[in-house]
Amino acid sequence: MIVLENVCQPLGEFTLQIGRLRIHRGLTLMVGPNGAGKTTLLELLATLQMPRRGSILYHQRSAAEDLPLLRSQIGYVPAEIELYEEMTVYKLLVYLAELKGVFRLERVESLLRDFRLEHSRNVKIKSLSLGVRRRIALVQSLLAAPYFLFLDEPLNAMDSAERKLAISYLSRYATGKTVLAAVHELNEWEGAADHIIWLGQGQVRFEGERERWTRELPLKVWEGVISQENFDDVNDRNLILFREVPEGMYVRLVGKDRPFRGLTEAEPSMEDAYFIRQRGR
Amino acid sequence: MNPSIDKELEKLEQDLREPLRQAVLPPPSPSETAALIAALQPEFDALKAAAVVPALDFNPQVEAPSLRKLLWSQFRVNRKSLILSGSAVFLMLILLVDPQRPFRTFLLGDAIPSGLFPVITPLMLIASMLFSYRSWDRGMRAVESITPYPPALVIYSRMLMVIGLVVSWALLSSLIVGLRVTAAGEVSMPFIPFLLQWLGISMFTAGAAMYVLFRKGMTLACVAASVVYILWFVIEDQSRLHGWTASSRTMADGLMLIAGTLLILRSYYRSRHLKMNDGLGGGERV
Repeated sequence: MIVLENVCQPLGEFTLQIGRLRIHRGLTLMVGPNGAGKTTLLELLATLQMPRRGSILYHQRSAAEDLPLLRSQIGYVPAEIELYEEMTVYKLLVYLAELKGVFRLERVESLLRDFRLEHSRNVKIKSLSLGVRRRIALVQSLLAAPYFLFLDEPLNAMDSAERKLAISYLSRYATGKTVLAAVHELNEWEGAADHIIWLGQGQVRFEGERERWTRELPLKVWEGVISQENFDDVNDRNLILFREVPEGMYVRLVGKDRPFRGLTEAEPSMEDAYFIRQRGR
Repeated sequence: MNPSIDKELEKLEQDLREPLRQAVLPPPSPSETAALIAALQPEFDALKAAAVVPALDFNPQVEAPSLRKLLWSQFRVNRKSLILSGSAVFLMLILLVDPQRPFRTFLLGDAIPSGLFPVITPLMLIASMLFSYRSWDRGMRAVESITPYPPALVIYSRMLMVIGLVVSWALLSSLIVGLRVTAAGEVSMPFIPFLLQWLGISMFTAGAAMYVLFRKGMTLACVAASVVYILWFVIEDQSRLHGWTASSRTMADGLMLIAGTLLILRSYYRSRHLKMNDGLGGGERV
């Protein structure tokens, strides 16, 4: 478990301030608007920055005293990364593996297989699509099979098949390990995430189990088909999604009570929960 | 109390004694308890394992830091570009040096009295060090920084490899130039002073750059290397004006070589003890 206490780190317009935050074993998703401090928090956890104030303990160990040990157990994927374009996939991964102290190259081979990159192994990075490059970025973080994995928007630029592959791998990997991923789209992680952290303006607004994230909500989610006239009366702030259907308008919206006849209460998804919580701020 | 009720109760008790005795299960024997505990043990173990936070040790997948391994790894990654660019420059050096007048160059004539080697080699070193310092991409720098090795040691290994390659190329070129000069037979070339001349300034430039790199960052390291390089020109000029003897010039070159080597060694110890990348350049972020 990672424990952050009284961490304070300046961000652009405000300061990342965390009184106490615990990151548990399993897969934790971190959400929040752009500029909320997600990347800064991930960089702090990945030991790329030292907190200006406060402490971060990884199983009672701190970066100040056990940096090589911690770094041997940390994998990191930044939101944006330009992999060395002139290298082939295999050469880049071998280089990064050796840089991390992994000289047994079976690990590279098995990750190439797991992420369906065998056919690209001898292809130069510059000829690969952005989605494949992103898969390689993910693979490099797993080279040393680290205990802590910090991922900044790991699914960026991936197509739906790649996203499913990555989510399925990460949810299996997170068993017994600590994986923290900053994401913008929550629904695709449904069933994979164990915990949620919600960050806003540098502060932790929510931290807890996924079930609590979707359960303790001030509003309910309603869905069904309504007439066009009723649709015109819907407050945009309450509307999660809508689409035209032959009978009228299919809507998914939030409200304390049933807003229109014909709508039924729906189980809130993780994304709905984020919508409701964000709307309340 | 009514005696008839007492009797009724007594009779009831007697009637029920036997059925109750049969209904009540005997207490488990010690062997039965032990068997039950043994059967449940795997479940207890699983619960215990789930509750215990594992101790965090050095990643068993990761091998201990080794400068030799790092050097080899860095060489493998950069070898093509370094060998190609290095060989091109030194091939040019060989071809530019006139074997009949080795201190006069085809390109610059007598403008540089000491010849091309001491001018080009340190420049080549500075350029290669800059090129190989780190990726310009922030994401890639971050990924390369998260290594169990002292982060500065990775940079040190890269720099050392660059110095090694440049010096090796220069040595090879010097050897070839020496052979060509000997074959031409016009002048005799003092090989050791010739070697020391460019090796001294090259190692001193590299040493100064490395020394400053691990204390003040890359920008100031480049400044330091450039200052040393420019100062060398000034000293060269002054030494000619004041008519230094060949032996005192060679001694000065030798001192520069020793000083450069010591600075590189000093940087090695420094690189092993730098904990965060912030140490590179006093607060320079990754």
